[in-house]
Amino acid sequence: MFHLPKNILLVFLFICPSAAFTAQAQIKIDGRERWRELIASDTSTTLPNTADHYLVCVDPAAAWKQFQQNNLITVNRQLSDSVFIISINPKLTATDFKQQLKWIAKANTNWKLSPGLLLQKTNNNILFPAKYFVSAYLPEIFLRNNKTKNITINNTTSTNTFIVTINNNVALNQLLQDVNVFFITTYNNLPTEELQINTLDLSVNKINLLHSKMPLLNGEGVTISIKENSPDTTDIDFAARHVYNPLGAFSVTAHASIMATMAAGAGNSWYLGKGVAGEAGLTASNFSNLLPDAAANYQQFHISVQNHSYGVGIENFYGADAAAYDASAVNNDSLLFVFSAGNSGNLTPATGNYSGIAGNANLTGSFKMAKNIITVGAVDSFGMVAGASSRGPAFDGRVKPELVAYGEDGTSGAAALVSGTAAVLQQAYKINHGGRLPAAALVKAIMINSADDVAAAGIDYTSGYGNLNALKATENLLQSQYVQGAVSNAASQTFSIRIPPNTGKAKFTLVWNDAPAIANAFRALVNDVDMELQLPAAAQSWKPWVLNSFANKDSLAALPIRKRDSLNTVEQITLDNPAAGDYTIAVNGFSISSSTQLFYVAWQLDTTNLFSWNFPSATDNIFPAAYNIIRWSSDVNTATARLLYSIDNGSNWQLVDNAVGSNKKYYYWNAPDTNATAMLKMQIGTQEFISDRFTISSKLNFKTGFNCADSVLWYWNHLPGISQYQLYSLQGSQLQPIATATDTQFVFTKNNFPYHEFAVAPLINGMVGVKSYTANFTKQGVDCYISNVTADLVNDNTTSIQLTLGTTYLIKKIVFEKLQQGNFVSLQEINSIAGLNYPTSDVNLQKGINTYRVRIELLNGNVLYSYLTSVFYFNSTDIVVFPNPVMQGAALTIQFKDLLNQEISILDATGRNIFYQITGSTSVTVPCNFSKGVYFVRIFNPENNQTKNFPLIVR
Amino acid sequence: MKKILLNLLAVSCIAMTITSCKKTSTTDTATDGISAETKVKIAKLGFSTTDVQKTEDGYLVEGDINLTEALLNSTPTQQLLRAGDEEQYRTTNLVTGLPNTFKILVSNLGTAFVSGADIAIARYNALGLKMTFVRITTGTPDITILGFNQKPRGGYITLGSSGFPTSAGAPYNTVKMNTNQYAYGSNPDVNYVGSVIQHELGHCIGMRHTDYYNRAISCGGTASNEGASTIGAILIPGTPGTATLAAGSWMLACSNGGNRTFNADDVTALNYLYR
Repeated sequence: MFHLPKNILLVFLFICPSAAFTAQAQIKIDGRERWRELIASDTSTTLPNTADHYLVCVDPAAAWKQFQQNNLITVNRQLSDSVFIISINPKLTATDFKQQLKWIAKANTNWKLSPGLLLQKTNNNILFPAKYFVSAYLPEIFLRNNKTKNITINNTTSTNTFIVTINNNVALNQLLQDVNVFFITTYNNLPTEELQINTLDLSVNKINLLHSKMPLLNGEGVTISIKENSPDTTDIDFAARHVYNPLGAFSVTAHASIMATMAAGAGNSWYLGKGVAGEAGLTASNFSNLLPDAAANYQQFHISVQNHSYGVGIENFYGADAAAYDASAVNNDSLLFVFSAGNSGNLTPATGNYSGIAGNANLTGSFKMAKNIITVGAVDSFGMVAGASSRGPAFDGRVKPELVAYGEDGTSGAAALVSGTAAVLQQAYKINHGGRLPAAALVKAIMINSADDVAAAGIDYTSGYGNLNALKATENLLQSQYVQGAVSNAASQTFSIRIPPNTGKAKFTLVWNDAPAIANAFRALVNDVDMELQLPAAAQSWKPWVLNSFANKDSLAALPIRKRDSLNTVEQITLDNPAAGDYTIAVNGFSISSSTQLFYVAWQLDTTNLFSWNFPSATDNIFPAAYNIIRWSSDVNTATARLLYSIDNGSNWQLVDNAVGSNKKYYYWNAPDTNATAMLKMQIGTQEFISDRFTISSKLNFKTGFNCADSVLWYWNHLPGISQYQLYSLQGSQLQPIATATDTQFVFTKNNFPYHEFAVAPLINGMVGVKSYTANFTKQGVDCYISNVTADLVNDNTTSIQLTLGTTYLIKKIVFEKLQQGNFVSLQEINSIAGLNYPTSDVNLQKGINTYRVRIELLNGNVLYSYLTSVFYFNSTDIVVFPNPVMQGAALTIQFKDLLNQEISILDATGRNIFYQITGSTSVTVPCNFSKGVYFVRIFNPENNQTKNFPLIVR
Repeated sequence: MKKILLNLLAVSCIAMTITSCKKTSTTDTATDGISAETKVKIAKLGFSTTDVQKTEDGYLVEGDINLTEALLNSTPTQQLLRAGDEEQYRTTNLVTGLPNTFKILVSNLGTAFVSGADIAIARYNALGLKMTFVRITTGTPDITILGFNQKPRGGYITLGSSGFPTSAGAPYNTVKMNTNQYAYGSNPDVNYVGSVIQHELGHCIGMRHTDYYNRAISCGGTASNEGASTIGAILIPGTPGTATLAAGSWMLACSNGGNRTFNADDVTALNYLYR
C-alpha cells in the first residue's frame, strides 16, 4: 500500500514555488480535493494495476515524462499543469514511478465526462433517454462493442465522435467503463439563434467606406455558407446568388435571411438590405448537425466562409465539437469559421475554471472554444460592447471573443458582418493571387490586427482584439501588410520591418491554425509559437500583450501586460509612438509537436494626428429634416472643433455646432430640409477636414399606376428642387439603371423590360439620392387601371359601389354598369376624371343576385372592363333557399338577410333529420348528396324561437 | 386573444365540451381531447397549453391564435429565438416580399363586419406601412374573414381568431369572427368589431399579445404566462418591455369590449417591422 500524506505545505512548495498565489488558491488549483469527483471511492493504489486509471500529481519539470516516452504509462487526459489521468503498463516499476509523484489516487470513470455532464451526474439529474456526444480512440471497435438495445449510435462528420442515444444509467455506465471511450458530453440539438431584430448600421465597422472606396470588392467569386436554418431564397437582396446545398435545412427562417442579408445582401430591397459582400454566393447548412460539414461538401460548393450565429447555452470546456472544428480548419486551410459569441454576457458560468464569476466566461457552446475560428461579440452604434454580448475568457483563459462588430440586438448580426468582411478579403486576395484563396489564418490575422480598440485599453475579455474595421482590413490585405512563415520546435524565423518617423501606433498580430487538442483537454493549445518585436539598434524588445487569466473577477478585468503567451493561437504586440528604425519580428517555435508550424503575422502602422470621416461617405445618403448620426475617426481632440455643412459644393458653409465636444466620434446632425448634395467640414484649430460629397434626399413613394397586358405605369411623388429621376430594375442579382425621367411617372412596355421589380431615385447634381423601396408591380394590388371594385349591400336596400383606380393617366370616361336580363346597362357615367376613388350606388335592386362591373374608356379609344362583383338582395324575405329544385349532388345555397345564429335542419319525407348545422354566416352551402325526392329545410332561430320551413325538391 | 369577460348564467352549457373523442381511445388523450404529444409541441412553440381547442386545420391556443399542423410540426425551427421573460410583441415569422398589397374578403358576414373590416383596414393603411390592405368583394383574397359560432366557455367568449405568418412570409390567410349572439350582440358595434378585426390582422402579420407573459393584465383573473418565455416573443426596440392595461395596446390579449386601436408603442412597433 502506498499512501501520500495530504500535506498542503508540501504541495504548495513543490508545485509553484515562484507563483504569487496564496496557499489556499494553490490547493484549489492542484490539491487532491479539487478533483474529488474523479477519485474512486476505493482508495487502493496498488501499482501496477493495468485495468485502472489513476490521477497523479507531478512536478511538471521533473523527469516523470520519461515514463510516458518509454510507454510505461499512457496519459489519458491532462487536468491541469501538474495533474494527469493515466493508465499503466505492466512493466512499470512502481517505486521508481511513485518517487516522481506528489500524490496519486485511483480514478473513477468520471474523467471522461464534460464539466456540465459531470455536474449533472453529481447532482443525479442526467436525462435518459437522451443524445450524447461520445468520443472513442478506436471508432470501429467502439461500434462493434457497444451494440446493445439501450445504446443507439449515429455517425457524425467527425470520425471518432458519435451521437449516441443512451437510454439509461446502465448503458451510460457501460460506455464509461469502455476503455475505448475517452469523452462523453451532452448533445444539444436545439441550438438557438443569437439575434432578435434586424437592424443594420454598416458605418460602425467602416463597411460603408469599404463600399464607397472599393465598390468592386463585393465578395464576387466567394461563397458564404449560413449554418442554421435556410434563408428565404426568394428574398431579392440575394437574388440569383443562392446556391442550393443538400445540407441546407428544409425550414426557412427570418433569422437566416437576416444573416444572409447582413453578410451578403445586395441592397436590392432598400439601402438597409445591403450587407457586406453583395455579390458573394450564398448557401445554407442545417445546424441540426452541430459539427462541421464534410470536407467534400465545403469543396464541392467552394465554401470559404461559414457563418454560425447560434448557441446552445454556456459551456466551458473544449468539446469534441471544438476539436472537430479545429480539425476541419486545419484540413480546409482556406475555410474560415465565424461564430457569434452568444447573448449571455450577463450570466454566470456554472462549470469550469471560471464557475461562479458573474459576467465572464459565458460563451454559448463548447464548439466556440475552438482555436482556429473567430468568435464575435456585439457592439452598439457607438462602439460600446452590449451587456448581453458573451464575454471571455475561454475555459482555459484564452482571449475570447476575438472580435466585436455591430450587433444592436445580438451577436448573430455581428458574426454575419465579420463573415461578409472575410468574403471580401478572400475576393481581394484571389484577385491578386491568380484566383487562389488566402489561408483562413491569414484572413483572421488581418481582421484581428486591423480592428479598432474598444472597451478596456488594449486586448480584453470583453471585446477581444477590438471592433472590426472592414476598410482597414481590406487596405492592409491589398497592401500585403503580412508575412507568412513556418517554424519547427525551438527554431526561430525573423522578419525585418522599417517603422518610419511619426508613426502613431505599430501593431503586429501572429495567428496560426493549431492542431486540434483532445476533447476535454485542460488547455486547448497544442503548438506554442511565440512572437517578439525587437529593435536591435536600441537593444530593445517587446513581448505580446497577455491578459491575466486567473479565476477572479478583478484579475480578468486587469489590463494586459507584456509577457510570453502560452495559451493563445493569437499573439499581439503594439507600440505607441515607436521610434523610427529597423525592427525585427522574431517568431519562435517554443513547443511544436508537429514537424513545422505555419503562421502569419499581420502588421499595421498608423500615422499620428488622424482625422477621417466615416459617415456619410460618397455612397451614403442623409435624410432631410431628420436626425442622422454622422461619424468620424480622430486622434485629434475635437473639444473646440467646429462642425459645418455646405449644400453648394463648398462655396458657403453653414455652422452646425461651434464646439463638437471632446473625444466625440459621432454627432447627431439635424440635417436641413432639402434635397441636395452636401459636404461636412470639421474645423480643428487651423486644420479643416472635409467629407466626401454625399446626397441629402427623401425616399420617393413609388407606386404602380396600371399593370396592363403589354405595359406598366409607375409613378412617384415630386421632390422639391429635383428635375430628374433614375429608374432601376432588378436584373439578375443587382438593380440596374434602365432609364431616367423628368416627369414623376414612367410607362414601360413589358417587351422592352421583362422584369418585375423596379425602383426610382432622385438625381441630384449628377449624384443618385436614396432609392425608393423596390416594388414588384404584380404585387401592388393594381390591375390594368383598376385597383379595386367593391359592391356592398347597405341599409338593406342599396348597393354601394366603390371604384379605386391605380392612375387617371389617359382615362377619358368611367361607366358603372349593371347586368340586366343578360346585358350590361349603364348605371352612371363619369366624364370628369379627378382622383382615384369613385363611389356610386344603386337603389333599384332586384331580388337575388345583382351584378356590376366598371367600363373604362381611354383617350386612345381602348376600352377596359373590371371583373364582375355582386350583392344579394332579399327584398322582403329574410331567407332564400336556392336553387329549388336542386339537382342531386349540386350545391344548395341558403342565404340569410341578417347574421343570426340560425339552426338549419334538412328533413326527409319521413321526418328524419339528414342534415344539421348552426350557421355563423349569412350564406350556407349544402352539398345535396341526397336521394331524389321531397325534403324540408327547417330554419330555427333560437333568439326568437321562430321556425321557418321551406319545401325542397331534389331531382 | 380577444375575449370578453361575461357574467353568464349558462354555466351548465360550458360543461358540454367535445365528447366524441374519448370512448375507447388508448392514446394519452386528456379530457379536452388534445393529446399530450400535441401539447408538448404547442409548449415548444412557446404557447400556453391551457384551454387548447382543436380546429379544422390545427389547434387554437391563447384564445384566438390558430397554430396550423404545419407550424406545429416545424417545432425545432420555430422556437429558436431567445427572449427574456418580459419581452413581447412579435413572433418569429414576419411577412416578407414587401411592399405588397394584401386583399381581404369578408365572406358572408353582415354589414357590421364589412364596416368593421373597413375600419381596421383604414387604420392599418393610415400608418403608411410597406403592406397595404384592401377589401375586395370579388376575386382571390390573401386573407378571408369568416364567421363561426361558438358559445361562451368558462366566463369568456372567443371573439375572433387567426394565426401567424407562414415560414414563406405570407400573412396568415384566415380570420374567424364569432357570430354568436353573446359575442357582439345582434346589432354589433362596428368600432368594436373593427377593433377585433384589427387585432386579428395583427396576428396575421406576426404580432403576439402585448401581455402574452401575463394575460391577467388585460383579461383579469390569475396571472398566467401564455407560453415559455424563450420562444417566438421578441421585444421590438423602442417599445416598453411590459404592458399595461391603461396603455391599451391593440394586441392586448383580452378586449375591453369597445373601440381599441394602436397606441403610440404599437405604431412604433409596426413602423419598426413594416415601414
